[in-house]
Amino acid sequence: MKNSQLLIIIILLFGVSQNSIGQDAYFYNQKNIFSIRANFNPRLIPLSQNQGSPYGVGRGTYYLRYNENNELLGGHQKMNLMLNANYARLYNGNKVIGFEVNYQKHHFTMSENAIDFIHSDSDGYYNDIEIPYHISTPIFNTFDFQVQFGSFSSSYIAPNKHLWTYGFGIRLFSLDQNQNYRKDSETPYTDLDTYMEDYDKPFIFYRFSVNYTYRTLITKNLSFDIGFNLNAGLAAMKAEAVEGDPSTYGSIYGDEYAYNRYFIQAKLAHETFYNIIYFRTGLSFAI
Amino acid sequence: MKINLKTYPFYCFLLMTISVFGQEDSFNNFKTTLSVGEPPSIFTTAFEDKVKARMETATEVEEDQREHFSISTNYSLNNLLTSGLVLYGDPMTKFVNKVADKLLENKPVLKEELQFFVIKTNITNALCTEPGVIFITTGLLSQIENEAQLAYVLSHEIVHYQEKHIQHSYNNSNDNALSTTEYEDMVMLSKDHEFEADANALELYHAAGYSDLEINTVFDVLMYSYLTFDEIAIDDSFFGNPDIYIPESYFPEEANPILAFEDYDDSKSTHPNIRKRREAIADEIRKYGNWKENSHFLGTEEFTYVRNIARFESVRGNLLKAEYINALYDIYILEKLFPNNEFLQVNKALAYLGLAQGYLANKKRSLVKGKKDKEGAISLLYGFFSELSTNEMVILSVRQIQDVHKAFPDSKRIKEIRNNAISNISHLRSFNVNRLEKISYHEAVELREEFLADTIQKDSISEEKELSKYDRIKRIRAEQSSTKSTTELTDENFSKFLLFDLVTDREFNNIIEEEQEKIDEERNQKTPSKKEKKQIKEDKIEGDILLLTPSLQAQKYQEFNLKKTLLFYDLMDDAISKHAPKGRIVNMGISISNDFTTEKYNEVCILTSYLIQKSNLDNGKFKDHYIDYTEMNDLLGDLTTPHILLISGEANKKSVFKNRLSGSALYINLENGEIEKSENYKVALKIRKASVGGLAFEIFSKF
Repeated sequence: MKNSQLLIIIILLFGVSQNSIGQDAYFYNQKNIFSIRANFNPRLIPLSQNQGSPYGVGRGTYYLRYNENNELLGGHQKMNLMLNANYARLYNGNKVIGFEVNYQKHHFTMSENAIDFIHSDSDGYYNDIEIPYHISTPIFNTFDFQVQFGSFSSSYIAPNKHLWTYGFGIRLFSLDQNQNYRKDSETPYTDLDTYMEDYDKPFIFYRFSVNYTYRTLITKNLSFDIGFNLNAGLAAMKAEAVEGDPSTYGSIYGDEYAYNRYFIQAKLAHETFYNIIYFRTGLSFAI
Repeated sequence: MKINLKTYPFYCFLLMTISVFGQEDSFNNFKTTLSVGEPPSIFTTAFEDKVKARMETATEVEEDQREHFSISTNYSLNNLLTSGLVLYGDPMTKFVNKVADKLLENKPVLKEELQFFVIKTNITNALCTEPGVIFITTGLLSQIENEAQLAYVLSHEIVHYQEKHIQHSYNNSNDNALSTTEYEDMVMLSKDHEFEADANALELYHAAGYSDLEINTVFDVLMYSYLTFDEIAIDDSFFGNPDIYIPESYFPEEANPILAFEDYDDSKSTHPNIRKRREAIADEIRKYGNWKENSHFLGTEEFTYVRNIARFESVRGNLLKAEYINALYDIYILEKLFPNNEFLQVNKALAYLGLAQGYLANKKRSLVKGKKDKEGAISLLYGFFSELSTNEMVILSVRQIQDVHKAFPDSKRIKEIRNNAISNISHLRSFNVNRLEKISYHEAVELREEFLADTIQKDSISEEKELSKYDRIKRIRAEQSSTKSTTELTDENFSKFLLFDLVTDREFNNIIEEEQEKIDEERNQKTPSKKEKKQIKEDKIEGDILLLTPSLQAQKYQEFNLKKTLLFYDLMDDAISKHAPKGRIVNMGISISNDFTTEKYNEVCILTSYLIQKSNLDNGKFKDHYIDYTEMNDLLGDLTTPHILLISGEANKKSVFKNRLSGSALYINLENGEIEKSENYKVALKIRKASVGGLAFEIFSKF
């Protein structure tokens, strides 16, 4: 057993060392790559948790917000859109080391339990959403800060074509405080704190990502990228203590907190996992 | 090292070949033939103009194919013209043109359309290219026996042009593009063309008044063309020096028989076999009456002169291709006619030096390769050289080169070659110079005979007395060797006696010692660390850059694509002018345009020859000797640390989404012969400004 493990390690090391024998030169000696890209995915939500729904995984999230006139508005966010800025430096032929920042406006999936019920009238049957409560959905500004390592496919001179990178860093969810959050249209804004206890402090996770990019050259410096970005792993920086009775968290009845930190944190991680893959497209400038 | 030399066109069916597998004082200062005078229009007319002209005349080709046909045929022709092997205005080309003029005396239109050139190559061949340009190789000129034979070969090629055979072949290959029997059809068609050319050639040939008897001999020339231009027995004079002993036992007992077979299987060949051709032509000859008996109109003297030039070129051609044994046999034949000819002797020295250094670099096998396939006298030489050990080869080379040096003591070049040959001795392993004998083998044998005769006399006097132990030992030794040498007198030891006159020479010993010191010094040098190696790799190249025409090729779905290739060249031209370091580039490309000059062309031809030599040279770490010594020195005279830059590139579109473009460059340092290679450049892009520019950028980043 020990021997076979050793063998596997040797093979792996050999594989890695072989991979490092790539090109020694660079395309027009370009070693710095700046990229701006958009990541997007169909926002997937586990509707199986929706007791009233027979369906499995659903798409998008329903959210509620109050406008300036304190009128309740509903919405359906069907896509996640994440902006990405990236700097990468090439070394050793086709190897890459870099830094990446992502930004996304994230509507918290609160209405997971919204009941998708069937109306019927003279025209027939149709689906509708019952809005179960009146509290605003929190909106987060999501930031990723990651260092990246990776390599271009070794058979071509870099930077060119296939790029695989692995990123590690933090994901930070910070509440967008410029919104008109309310429990309902009558309750004053200042009472919100009692419902959304203490989660205006940012939530921080470790995040591990796997990224693939396919580059198509436009000019010798500029190229068009398509690819994907995987949320391959996430871990909370610090487990938060549970306050009160967890079974009631997320409940909207009575005067219990609608949300608390623990609930939000778990939910954010959960949402991240359901949206494990983002497609990305954008431009890279190499110099 | 493999260098892609853009020499022969890939569209073999565009070239109709007649397949043949086959004034003494002016030779004293023989130098390789170069072109002379005003360049012919074919070298100065731009590609586009030639294509236009061709489109008007290619009447046999279907109209929609005409452009492709014209571009392809001109591209093939251009490849030949820029190969650096074509001659014009020289005695050989002039002679070929005179014979052609004689044939075309009554055909002024044809005479106007056709052009004749000579190609420097040892392959025995003649070929007709579509625009009416006919090439005769020096190999063919060295083999034929008279003007009439050349006239028949020319007539054959002229018929290919006259009957528009290439256009027919082209149509045929297009018509059959989807047919499974395409290859067979093409071969059949070419064979018909060959028979037709053989037969119709008689018209011109007969009208000119040449003898019918020579036609049969032309087929002999073709049949035996794989042999050297003459066949003479090898005797003692091969090694020149009567004082040296070369054991018979090193030679094979007899030469391989000459087996040339005329009724070979020709089903896979574009040309019918020689027997079929002979039979077909015999019937045709009978159709013509009143044959004349001329085998010469221009006089045998001019013919012999031209053939000798071709034979001298054959020596050089063999040296360039590192076929040293062939070169030595050529020289041996020519020496009989031109004794003490400096060109031959220098080349003999170079051939021996090449052999010695090849053996030292463990390349003996490739040098005596094909030993079994050689036929006739030359097989004896192949047998002999394959018997020699490295030690024997190196010593023999010193002997031979020393003899050349003795004959031309004033020649600095020969002295340099000799010193090089002597220094090779230091590279021999387990070899002791002190073991070399100071007397020749013959002398040693004589001394032994004398001694033995002497002792027999003494013995008979003291017959009664019993010999002492030491007398008996002395006697045994004397039977083995002579009184002035210690080496046993057997065939295996012949090389120990070869340098009898040199071993006491101070210069000889000094050269060996100096080289030994150099070798020791190199051995003691530390191997460079990884960092140092990387530094060496990153070092920039200083000096002038001799830029040859890049060798570029584009393929689409695995097939050569001409339009893309031309685009590749265009983009590369732009990229070079953008990325090449200013003021250091010496353009050595042959551009078929108004700028073409004979002087420049000859320079490129010399440089191309050097590249052929370099690509065939397998002499390990030894110094290169230029075969065209004065020409190369003139060429490089004003340049500082010149480097040849050879660019090669390949683009391949494998499918709609799969594009590849790759390339690299060789930097050949002409001062020390070292070759460096650029990084491999490979991108998944099609031929476009960015991808080709990237290649040029990469190549010139070394400067």
